[in-house]
Amino acid sequence: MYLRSLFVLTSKDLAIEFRTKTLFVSAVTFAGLLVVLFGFSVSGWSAFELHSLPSILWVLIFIAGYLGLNRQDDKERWDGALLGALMAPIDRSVVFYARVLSNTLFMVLIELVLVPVFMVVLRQSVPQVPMLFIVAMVLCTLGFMALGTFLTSVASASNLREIVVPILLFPLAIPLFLAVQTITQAVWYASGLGFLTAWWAVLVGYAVLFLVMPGLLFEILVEV
Amino acid sequence: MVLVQFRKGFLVILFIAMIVSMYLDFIWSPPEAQMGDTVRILYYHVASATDAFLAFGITAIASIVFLIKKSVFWDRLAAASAEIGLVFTTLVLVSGSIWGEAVWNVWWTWDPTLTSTLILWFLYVGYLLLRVSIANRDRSARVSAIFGIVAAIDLPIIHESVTWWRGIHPSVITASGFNMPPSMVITLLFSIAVFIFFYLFLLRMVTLLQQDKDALDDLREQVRKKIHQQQNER
Repeated sequence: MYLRSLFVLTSKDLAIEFRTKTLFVSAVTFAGLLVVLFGFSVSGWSAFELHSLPSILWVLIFIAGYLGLNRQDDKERWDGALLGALMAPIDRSVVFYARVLSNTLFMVLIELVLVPVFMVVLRQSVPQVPMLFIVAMVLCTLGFMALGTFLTSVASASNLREIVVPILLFPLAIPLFLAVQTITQAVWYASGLGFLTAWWAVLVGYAVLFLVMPGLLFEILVEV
Repeated sequence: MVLVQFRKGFLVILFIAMIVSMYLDFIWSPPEAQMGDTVRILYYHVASATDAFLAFGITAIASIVFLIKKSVFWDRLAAASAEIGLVFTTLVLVSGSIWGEAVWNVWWTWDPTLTSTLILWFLYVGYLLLRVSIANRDRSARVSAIFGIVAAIDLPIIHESVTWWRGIHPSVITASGFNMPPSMVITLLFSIAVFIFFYLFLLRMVTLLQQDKDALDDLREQVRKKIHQQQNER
C-alpha cells in the first residue's frame, strides 16, 4: 500500500511534467545560460587554470536545483493540490517521499543535459572515472533534493518563501557541496581517489539523514 | 517598564562588573609579547563566542521543549535566544576579522572555525527570517522549532566537513596557541562571566518584549473584530 501510494504520487508529478515540460525546459535553459555567462568570465583562462573548473559545475547545479524545487512547490499550490494529497487516507510521509523522488528524477534529467553542455562550452574533458561521477551526482542530487523538499515545506507558509528557502538551504547544504565538488574534481582527473572515503560518507550520510529525519517530522510540519 | 521586572540588585552588579571588566581588559591586563595591545580584542571575541554558542544551544533546547510541551514560553525563549545569538555571532565575526588583519595580515581566511561561524551566522539569519515571515503565530512557532532542531543537528556535520576540506589544502596560516600569564587568564574568564550575565539580562529583556508584542497583536486583533462586528450591526 505504502509503495503503491508512493508510485501513484510520483507518477502524478511525472505525468504533469511530461505533459507541460515547463520545469525541464526552463531549468535547462536557465542553467545553460549560467554556463554561457560563466564561459565569458573564464574565456581568457589557460588550460591549466580551466583544470579546476569541474568543481564549479556544482554551483550551477545547486542554483538550477533550487529553481526546480521552487517551481515544484508552486505547482503544489495550484488548486490546493498539496491539501488534496494530505487529505488522502495515506501515511503523510508518502507525500514527502514522492516529492523527493520526483524532484530527484527531474534534477538528474536536467543534469544529464547540463553536464555535456558544461563540458563543451567550458572546454572540459570527459570525466576519467565516469561511473563514480554518476554515482556521486545521483547521491548528491538525492541528498540535496531531500533537504530542499523538506525546507520548501518548512518555509511554505512564509511570505518571503522565494528568498527564505535558499537562505535556509544553501548553508545547510555546504557539507554536501564540499563533498561533491571534492569528489568531482578527483574523479574528473582520476587523482587522489583513495582519499575520498570521508566525502563519500558525507554524500551517503546526507541522503540518509535528510530522508529519515523529515519523514519523521513531516507530520508535525504539515499539521494545519 | 521591562526593566522594572528585573531585580535592581542584579542590574547594579552587572553594571559594576562591566566597568570592572573594561578596566581589566584595557588597563590591568598586560599587552602580549608579540601581539601587543591587539590581544585585548580576544577578551571580547572569546566572550562573544561563548555567548553565541550558549544562545544557540538554548534555542535548540527550547525548540525541543516547545515541540513537546507546546507552551508559548519556550517558543519565545528560543526566538529571543536566537536573536541575541545572532548579534553576538556578528560581534565574533567582526572582532575576529579585525584581529586577523592585525595579527595574520588578512581580513578573512578559510580557517575551519571562521568558516563554520560564518555558516552559523547565515543559518540563524535564515531562522529569524523564517520566523518573522510566517503570519500564523502557532505555525511560525512550530516550523521555527523544527528548523532550530535541524540546524543544531547539522552544525557538527558542517564543522567537521569544513575541517576535512581544509585538511586537504594545507592552510598557510594557523592559529598559534597562547601561553597566557595568569593576569590574562583572569581577565578572560572575568569577561566571559560578565558576558554570560549580560546574555541572561538580554534574554529576559527580549523574551518580555516578545510577550508584550504578542499581547499587542492580540489586542489589535480584538479591536479589528470589534470594528468589524459594529460595521456588520449597522
